Amino acid sequence: MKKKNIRLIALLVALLMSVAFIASCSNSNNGSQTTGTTDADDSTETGDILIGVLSPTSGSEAYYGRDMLQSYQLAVEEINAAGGVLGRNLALYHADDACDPNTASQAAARIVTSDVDFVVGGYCSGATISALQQFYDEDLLMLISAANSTNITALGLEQTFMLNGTADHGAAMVAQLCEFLGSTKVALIHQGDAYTQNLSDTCERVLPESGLEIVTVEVMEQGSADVSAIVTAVLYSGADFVYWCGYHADGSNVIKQLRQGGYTGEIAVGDGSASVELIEACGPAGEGVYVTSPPYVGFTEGGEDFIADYNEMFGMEPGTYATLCYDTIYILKEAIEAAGTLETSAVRDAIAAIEYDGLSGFTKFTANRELAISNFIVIQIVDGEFVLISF
Amino acid sequence: MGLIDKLDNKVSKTIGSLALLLVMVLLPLRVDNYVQNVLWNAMFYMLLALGLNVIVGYCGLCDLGYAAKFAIGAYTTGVLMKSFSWNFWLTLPVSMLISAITAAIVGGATLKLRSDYLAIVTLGFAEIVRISVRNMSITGSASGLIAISRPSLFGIRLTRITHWYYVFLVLVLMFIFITYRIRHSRFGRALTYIREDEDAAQAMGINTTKYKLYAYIIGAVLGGITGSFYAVKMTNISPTSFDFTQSANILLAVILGGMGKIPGVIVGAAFFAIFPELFRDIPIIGEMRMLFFGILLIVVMITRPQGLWPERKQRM
Amino acid sequence: MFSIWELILQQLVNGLILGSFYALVALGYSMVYGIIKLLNFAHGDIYMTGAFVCLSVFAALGNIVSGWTGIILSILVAMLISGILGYIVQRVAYRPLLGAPRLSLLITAIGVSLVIYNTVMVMTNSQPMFFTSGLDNAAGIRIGSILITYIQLVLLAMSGVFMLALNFFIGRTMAGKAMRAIALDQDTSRLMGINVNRVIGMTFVLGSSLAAVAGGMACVYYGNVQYNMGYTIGIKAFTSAVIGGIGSIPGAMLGGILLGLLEAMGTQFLGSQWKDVFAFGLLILILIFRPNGLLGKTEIERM
Repeated sequence: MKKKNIRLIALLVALLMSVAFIASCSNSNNGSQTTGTTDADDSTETGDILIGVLSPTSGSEAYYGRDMLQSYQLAVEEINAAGGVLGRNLALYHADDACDPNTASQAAARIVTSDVDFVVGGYCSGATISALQQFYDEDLLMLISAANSTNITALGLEQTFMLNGTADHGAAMVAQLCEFLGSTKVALIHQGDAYTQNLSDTCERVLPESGLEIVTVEVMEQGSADVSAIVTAVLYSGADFVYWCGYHADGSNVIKQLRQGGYTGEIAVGDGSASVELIEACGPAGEGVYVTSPPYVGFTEGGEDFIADYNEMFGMEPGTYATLCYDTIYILKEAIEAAGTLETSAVRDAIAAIEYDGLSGFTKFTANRELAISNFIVIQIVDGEFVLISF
Repeated sequence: MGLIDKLDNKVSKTIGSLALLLVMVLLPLRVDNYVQNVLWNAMFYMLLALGLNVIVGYCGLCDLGYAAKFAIGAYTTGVLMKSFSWNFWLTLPVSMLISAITAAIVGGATLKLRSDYLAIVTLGFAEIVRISVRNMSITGSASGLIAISRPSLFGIRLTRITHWYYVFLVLVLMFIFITYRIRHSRFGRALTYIREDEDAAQAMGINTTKYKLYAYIIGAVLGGITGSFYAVKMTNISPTSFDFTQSANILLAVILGGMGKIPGVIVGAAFFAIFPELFRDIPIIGEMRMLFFGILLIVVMITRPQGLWPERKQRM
Repeated sequence: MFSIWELILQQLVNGLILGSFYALVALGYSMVYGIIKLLNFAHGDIYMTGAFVCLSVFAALGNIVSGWTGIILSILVAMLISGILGYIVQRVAYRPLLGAPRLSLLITAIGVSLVIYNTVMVMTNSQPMFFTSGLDNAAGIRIGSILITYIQLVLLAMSGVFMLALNFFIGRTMAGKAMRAIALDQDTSRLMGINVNRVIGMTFVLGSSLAAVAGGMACVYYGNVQYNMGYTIGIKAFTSAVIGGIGSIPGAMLGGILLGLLEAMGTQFLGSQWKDVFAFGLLILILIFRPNGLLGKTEIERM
């Protein structure tokens, strides 16, 4: 009898859990709204304009996901304080994709069922791609602030825009940098995931067109601290320019071990490593390292004010994609005002035609809905600080 | 008395199952896309767990690389549809076949190993599969395959989450039926003997290596089918979905619920898929949901070491 | 600038260093497996905890002691704290389940791993932390174009000393004998008057402190400490332990070093993207031809 009881209890608990789950979700409007308030019926002309935010706030990329969300919040607060858009306030509805395709699919469904009007966000390319199909099915417009895999373009979804420069922009920047430095033999190192491999593949395709020779392509698995074997392989290949396509956490390891192993050529890192943390992490080995970076907030016009506001609101420094995210909201605002309506097709056409001069630079889209003019910059670590390089 | 009790038990069980099924069938009429998506995810893990259950639960083999079986199905379908423009339904038998062949090769070479060594072999094989699809261009490298087209069924193009909800519900029922039949066949009883005492089973004249291999192949084929459907539901697949964490998750669903027992496995998978979602909207705690999940795992296993809904020991 | 022989030698050195890390972590896996037949998934996370403790202690000592004294002190503290953590994990999560099916124990181990991993992730905001020892990382002995740094030499010596000490402890002391006895037959050992629970606890303390040594060394040598650093090395160390013959102490050392060498050579001659395929492929082959690993004993399995 006792055994039966326990099983009954287990069953009851499971049932209760499901009921609780369904009950908690059927009323999905009072979820994790982060700014502003929303009436139950936000489809009316007077309610808030609800913007869904897809970004990872748990898991390995949580730091970036939170930075993105905060940058959106800052822009939304500013706009609401200045009277909103079409006389209505903006509100954000955030869902965590944990940088994982399966979780992103749930997060996308969560956003879709919350009756949002638009979607912004997108950090990890894989998770973003997984969510995009659902937004497309629901005819929702998405502005992608950070994820920049060319695969997103390849999907050909006509209401998806990418604000961050693509891997093509990054590779073009590398080619220019090599020419500037007089380097000829390039070694590429990536981390075997969608974003870093995409960047490495693009470099492998584009750089030989500028007369550069790719001497080796290596993969460093994420979180595997030891790169000595790769360093030796790079030294043996005779490379005079190493381009690290990966993230800053492992990037410092690569830079330090390259220098420690006796590599004396040039080192550059991609936008995944464009973070002040890199300077601290590398120590003296980081001196002279180049970074092909998205519009970094320290080097943009009006950047000081933004840093001060961000600091005041969240008590921390803005991250790599802060300017892009901040501009995302403003571009959406301009487009809505130009369209005069919230209708997806009208706003989409307005964004396609937009020319916006913002914190991250000049934004205009190609017919593929990618960023038209590269906003990448090159910075170098000099005396423990980032310095803008122009050539 | 004994007979009535038994009959009563059986009737109440049947009524209970039918009621649950009715609720599952009618649910999409009442709940929104999000809930359907979460329930779809739960059913997806149920399929994987039911497949792995044949290997781990019935046969007692420790498989730490089930993600590879499901990756093989997903990538077979994906590659055939993307590179060779096949119809989805035609890729299904091919993906079953390839799953069976790889399982026969890997299993044939390694199933005679001790179970812990088998664990590392399956883990190693899963890593080999994952890294290979990541390095090859036909499988789309690290970005994986994108924009796999959606199939049609009875003239309806399966695009809405509700469609997939019903497709997976039917699949779950089919998998339950198949694994239930296996469990209660001569073959299934032989597997139980092998799990309980391999030496004795061998002494009774059961060809243990052959039976273990069959179980391993059946588990792999079920995983391959799930993978194929996963590929067309998600429309994009990438190597990150098939890493060791995924294998551990599936194993977790099987053992958490109670190895061997079908309702247990289903409860385990549902628990695994739904529990983290419950925490999604709670600030701060939502970001730490996997931490709570870990604590819960420990507590559940300590209080119920046989799983939430374990198999009753059969008297032999 | 490199001749092919120098290249091979340099990769051997690289492999040896990497392998000694694997070996130290593999020892913990092997000991725990040998005694309670558990694949301790949390072991990689204990390694990670050790690295964080080492980093924090070194930073806290800061002005008082630095250089090698500071490093050794930090590693000792890391050993102590990880040892305690290992004991607590064992006491809370594993001991209640010693009589349960072994796969249940495996799930608890995954649970423990999730708890440690996520706790550290939340505490560090999923950002890496950095260690600066003030030592010259590039100073060392040069033979032709081959470079062996002093830090590498110290690391090799340290892991060698710890492995020999452990081998002595298990082979020659009473406590070691008790451990071996329990590995053979728990019930009989209990009848012989061995305090089984205490010995199991001790095994966890030992294994965890060895993982902390490896973690501390990684912290000093690589300078990067991150919440996910235990994941890869956990799988690799587990593989090493199996290659060598799980449960065998010399086997774990041999397996670790062998895997390190394989990876270095694989990186050079097959490309870094295929090195793990190469290593795991060889693992499967080794197990097919030597089903008990390189140094494992043949035994009849009883579940």
